[in-house]
Amino acid sequence: MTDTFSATASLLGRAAQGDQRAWNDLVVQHTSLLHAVARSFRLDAADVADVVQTTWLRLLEHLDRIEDPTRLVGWLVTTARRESLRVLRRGGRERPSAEDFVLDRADDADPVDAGMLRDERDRALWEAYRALPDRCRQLLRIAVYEPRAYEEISAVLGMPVGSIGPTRRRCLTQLRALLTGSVVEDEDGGAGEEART
Amino acid sequence: MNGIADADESDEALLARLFEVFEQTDPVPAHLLDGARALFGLRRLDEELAELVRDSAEEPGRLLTVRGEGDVRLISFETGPVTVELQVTERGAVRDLVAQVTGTGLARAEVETPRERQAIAVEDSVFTLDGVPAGLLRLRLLTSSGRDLVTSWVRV
Repeated sequence: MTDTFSATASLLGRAAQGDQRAWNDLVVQHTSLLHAVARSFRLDAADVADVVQTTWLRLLEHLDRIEDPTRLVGWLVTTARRESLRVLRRGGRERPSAEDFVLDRADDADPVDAGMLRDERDRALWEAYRALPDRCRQLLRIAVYEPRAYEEISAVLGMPVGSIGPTRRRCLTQLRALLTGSVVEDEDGGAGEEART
Repeated sequence: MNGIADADESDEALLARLFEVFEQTDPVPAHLLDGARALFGLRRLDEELAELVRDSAEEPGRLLTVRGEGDVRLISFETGPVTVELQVTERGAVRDLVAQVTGTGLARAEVETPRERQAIAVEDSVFTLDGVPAGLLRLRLLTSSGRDLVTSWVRV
């Protein structure tokens, strides 16, 4: 953790001094996660690109103002979330709560290419993932990059940190049940219920 | 079972497998990485940021409005005593801008997009620019006392 801290602090410091290579390293380390965050809001490719670009621009503006390097990932995902919600609003798709909106969105924004999956196990896993409730899909989309980053995941989902662990467990249980074809225990299908706690 | 699923697979192993699936079905496009690297060239060390403090597009009342041609959006930026008010009017795929700066005199103003910069004539701390393509932009200002100010990026 200390290594991570000093490495991140060093990259931020060097980038703030104008070191392009330090900036490139930050970009390479975190773009996958930002991409996943934007994707978890079911944005299409163009909107995802907007969100990722704007998030990096925000960091660029604030390079010398990041006080706690250990929170860089949290800062980035929170920014990406805010920009994602902004994109959703901008599309004329205003709702009282943007979170509700995510839950309501149709699958047609899923741009992924399942044809890429030649492995039968992978395809089964993909199908099972797609059958999960939206809240689980969003959580797992991010958790694969940062499995234990509960604070960051809670920031993206707008859920209390304390509910992330249990929700993650429940989502994985549901995923496993879908994979094995057994009955899903949570019969109202809602790991999203956790959001109320 | 035919080996597709394994009820004993650990959470971590399952997540790792899901990670591989996302990497195959929904990889990060290379242009996202290239674009993010290239953004670094937009940074100058000696400029002061005027932060976004208000954006009418973010305000709750707007949720009830119907978007359409001619919508006007008001965006404010601040740094110290300096305030920049930017009014953005939608006109199809382009935007008309009116900006007013208070708290300092202005020697020069530019509208910057990730691709280019365009100088604008300033008159009494007000400047206008019509027909800017929709997308990211920010204002770069040189105050009459010689300070370089730049606003946060906004997507208009």
